[in-house]
Amino acid sequence: MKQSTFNFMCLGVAVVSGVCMFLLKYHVLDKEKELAHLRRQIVNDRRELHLLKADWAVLTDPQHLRLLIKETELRPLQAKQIVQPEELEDRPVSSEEETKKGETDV
Amino acid sequence: MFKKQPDPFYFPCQEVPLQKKDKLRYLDMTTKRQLNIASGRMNFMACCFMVFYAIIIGRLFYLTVMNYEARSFKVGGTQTNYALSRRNIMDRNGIILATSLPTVDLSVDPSLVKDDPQEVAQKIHSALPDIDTETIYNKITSNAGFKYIKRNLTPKERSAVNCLGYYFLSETKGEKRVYPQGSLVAHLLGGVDIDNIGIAGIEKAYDTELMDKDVQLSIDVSVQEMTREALSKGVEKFQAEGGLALVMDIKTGEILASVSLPDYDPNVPAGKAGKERFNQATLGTYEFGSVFKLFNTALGLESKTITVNDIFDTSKPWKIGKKSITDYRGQNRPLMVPEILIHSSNIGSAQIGLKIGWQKQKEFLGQFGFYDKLPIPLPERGTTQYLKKEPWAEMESATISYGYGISVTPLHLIAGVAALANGGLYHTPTFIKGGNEGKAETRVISEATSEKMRHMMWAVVNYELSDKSPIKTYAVGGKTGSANLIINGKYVEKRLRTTFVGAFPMNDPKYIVMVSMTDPKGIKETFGFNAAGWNAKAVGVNIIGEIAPYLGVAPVEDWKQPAYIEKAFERSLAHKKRK
Repeated sequence: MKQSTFNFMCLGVAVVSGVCMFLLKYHVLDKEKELAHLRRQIVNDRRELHLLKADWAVLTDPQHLRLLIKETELRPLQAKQIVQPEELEDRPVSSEEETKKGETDV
Repeated sequence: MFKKQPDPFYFPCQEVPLQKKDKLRYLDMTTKRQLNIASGRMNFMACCFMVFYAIIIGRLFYLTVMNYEARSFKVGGTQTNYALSRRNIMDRNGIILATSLPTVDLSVDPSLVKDDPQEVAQKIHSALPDIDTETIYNKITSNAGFKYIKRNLTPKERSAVNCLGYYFLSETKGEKRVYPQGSLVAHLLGGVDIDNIGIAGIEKAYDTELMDKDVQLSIDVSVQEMTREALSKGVEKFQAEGGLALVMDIKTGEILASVSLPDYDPNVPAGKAGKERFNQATLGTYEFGSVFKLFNTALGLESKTITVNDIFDTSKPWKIGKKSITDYRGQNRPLMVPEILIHSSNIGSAQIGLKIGWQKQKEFLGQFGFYDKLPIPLPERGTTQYLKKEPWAEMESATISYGYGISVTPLHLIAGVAALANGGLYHTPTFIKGGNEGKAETRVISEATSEKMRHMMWAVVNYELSDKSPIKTYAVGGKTGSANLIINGKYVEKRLRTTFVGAFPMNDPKYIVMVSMTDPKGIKETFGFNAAGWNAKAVGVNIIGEIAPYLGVAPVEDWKQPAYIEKAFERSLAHKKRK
C-alpha cells in the first residue's frame, strides 16, 4: 500500500472517529439527562408514595374505622365463628351432581 | 535516463538524512558543537512531551476504563431513594405509627430588611395570623444573621407569604413528625422537639436508630385500639381517675398493647406537662395487692413448703404482735390452698408467707426483677420500691405475701405473672418485634408448679361463672387485686387501685392481659362495690372477648380440672349453701 493512501485512510478513520465520538458524546449527554429526569421522577414518586402511606395510616386508623363501621352491618368477630378445618361441614351436593354420581355407580 | 528523482517524503519530526554532498561539507568544530546541543535539547523536549502525553493517556485510561462505573452518570445525581432525616415507627404488621412529612420553614435575614419594619411585620402577620406582630417585629429587627419566623408552614400560609414577595424572607426545607393514630399509642411513642430530636418514649429510646432505619414495634395497632376502647369505657363507667392496660404474648414477652389513660394527642405541641403525659404502664410503680398472692402460692409450692391440698385456718383475724390481719368479705373457715386464691384470703396468704420465711420470699421475688428497673430501652422506667432493710419483720413478710409493702411497675407484674402461667420461664418484656429472639429465658418455677398455678388461676376466675362469659369460652385464668391508695403517705380506706391480670387459654396460654384502674367508684350495677372483681376484671374480660377472635384464639371446648380444684369448688359451694 502506498504511503499516501495509508495517510488518507488514517485521516478518514480519524475524521469518522471524531464524528462518531461527537455524536456518541451528545447521545450519552441526552441519555444522562433522561436518566437524571427518571431519577428525579423516581424520587418524586417515592415522596408521593411516602405521603400516601401516611394518608393510608390515617384512613385505616382503627379508631376512625370504628366510627365508620357503625354505619354498616359489620360486627366484631365472635368466638363461635372460629372453627377448625375438620369441624367444617361437607359442601352440600346438588341434585345434578347426585344424578351424575348415581350414573357412575351403575 | 536523466529523469528527475522525486523529492523524498518526510513525516513530521522525521530526521532528514544528510545528503552525500552535505556529508562532504566541512563542518567546523563550533558548528558541530552547536548541532549537538540542539540535538540534545530536541531529545530532551521530546522526552518531556512523551512523559506529558503518557500521563494524559494514563489518566484517560484510569478515568474511562479502570474507574468507569464510579464516575459515570453523575449528571443530575445518582440518588433514587427518598428518605427524610427521621424514619418511620411501625407496628408489628407494618402500619405506620409515626412518620415525618416534608414541610417548609420560613426564615428572615434581618440585615437585608430595608423597608419599614413595622409595616413588614404587619404584612407578615396578615399572612401568618397565629404569630403576633410584635414577635415578628422583634425577629426582623434583631442583630442575628438568621431567624426563623415560623417552622412547618401549611400550604395556605406558604402561598400567603409568597404573595408578599419579600426578598429577605427565605424558605428552608423542614420536616414535621406526624402520628397518624393520634392519641392511640401516644405514651409509648413519646415525641420529638422542634428540631426532630426524640424527647420521650420510643422516639428518644431509638433516636439514633431512627436516623438510619425504620423501627418496628411489637405493638399491634388493632389490639391496641380494642384494649384502649374497652379500658376507656371502663374508666368512664366506673368514674375512675385513670387506668392502664397491657396485652403481652406470654411466650415471647412481646407487648401487643400498652394503654395509659388519660392520654394526649402527640400531634398537638406539648404544653405544660400534666398527668395525661404520665405513662402509668412503664413509669408508675404501685402496690397491686392480692395479685401478689399468686407469687406467694407459687413459691410455697415450688419450695415444697405447702401442697395444693393443705388447709389453713382463716376463721378469725390473725394477730401478729399488736396488729391483726383480716380478710375482705372473709369466709371465716379453714381454706384449702386453691380456696385461699379463689376467696383472696389475706390471712391464708400471710400464713403461707410466714411458713416459707422472708429469705426465700425475698430471693424468689428478686428472680422476677422486682427490685430493679426493667432492662428496656425506654426512658420512662419506674424505680421499684421494696423493703431493703433486713431481716424482714413478720408483719412485713406477711403483708408482702398479699401484695402490700412492695411497689412495682405494671410491666414488672405482667411479666412476672406470665412466667407463672407459661411453664415457668421469665421473659423480659419488650416493645420491639422479635426483641427477645435469641435471648436466654430464665426458669423461675418448674413446669409442674406452673401447671398447678394455671389450674388455680383458672379456678379463681371461673368459680361461680356463667357459661356465656368469655372467661369460660377462652379458659381464662387470672387474679384480681384491690389495694388501698396511698394519699399524702397514708392508706385511704375505700379508695382503691384495682387490678386484674388474666392469661388465656389456660390449657395452652398464648396471651396475658392486665388492667388496672385508679380509684374506680361503686355504681348501681356493682351494688356500690368498687373492688377489682367488679370493675378491673370486667374490663379485662371485655378486652379478652374482643382481642381473642382477632388473635385467632379458638374457644376451648373442655379443659379437665384436677381433683384438688373440684374439691375446692365443692367445699366453697357447700359452705355457701350452709350459709
